[in-house]
Amino acid sequence: MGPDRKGGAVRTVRVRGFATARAALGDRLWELPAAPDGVRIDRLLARLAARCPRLAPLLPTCRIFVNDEPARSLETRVRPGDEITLHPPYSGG
Amino acid sequence: MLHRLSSRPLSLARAYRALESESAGAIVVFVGRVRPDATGHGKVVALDYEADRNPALGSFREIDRAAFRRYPGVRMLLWHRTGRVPVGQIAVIVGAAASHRSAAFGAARFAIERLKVQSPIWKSDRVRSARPPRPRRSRPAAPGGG
Repeated sequence: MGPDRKGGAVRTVRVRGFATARAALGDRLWELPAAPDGVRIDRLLARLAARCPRLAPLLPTCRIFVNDEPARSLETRVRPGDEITLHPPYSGG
Repeated sequence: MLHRLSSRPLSLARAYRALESESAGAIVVFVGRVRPDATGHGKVVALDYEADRNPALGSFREIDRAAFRRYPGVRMLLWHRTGRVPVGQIAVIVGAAASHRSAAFGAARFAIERLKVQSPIWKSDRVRSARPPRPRRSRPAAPGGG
């Protein structure tokens, strides 16, 4: 599913997860509508958790990245075109 | 290349060569391999690794810089596999080259411990079921046989 566009402008924030977070998101990329002035990360994720019940208990353990950079805070605003990535605890090596 | 995520087998010989230099009086190379652990579901035959590529490579750079601050002059190598890695194959190589062994050992240990908690890489088990095979059905006698 491509980004939601109107008049050529992206109007959604993409959310994807890895490992257990990906499974909790139903193995799919989500595109959530966002106002042009953005939405707080915690509010966007609460909306998503309401649609993906397995996500809610996982969220407190996740590190949140925005556009490949760690989010400074959950109160940070993301804007249409941004991408949030959910990282559950790491297990490399 | 000293920081690498690869879906292809990692070569210990290449890692060592990448760390070699005239001033490297000590080279420590740690190799992490996939073990055939027993799990509640069966025996591990492989691990599937996935990584969030850009943040993972960024974490390798951060670990490298942190190791250098602790062990000035050390040269680090961080390589990790992605995709399916069968038992016995190399999943991760962390190397450190320094003038003396204490810095090389310290930096290699520091880097692998950091990588495990700081790099966005995840593994999941691929297991072979421990259930015994189902008994084979006896074949019906061939018509007209005997």
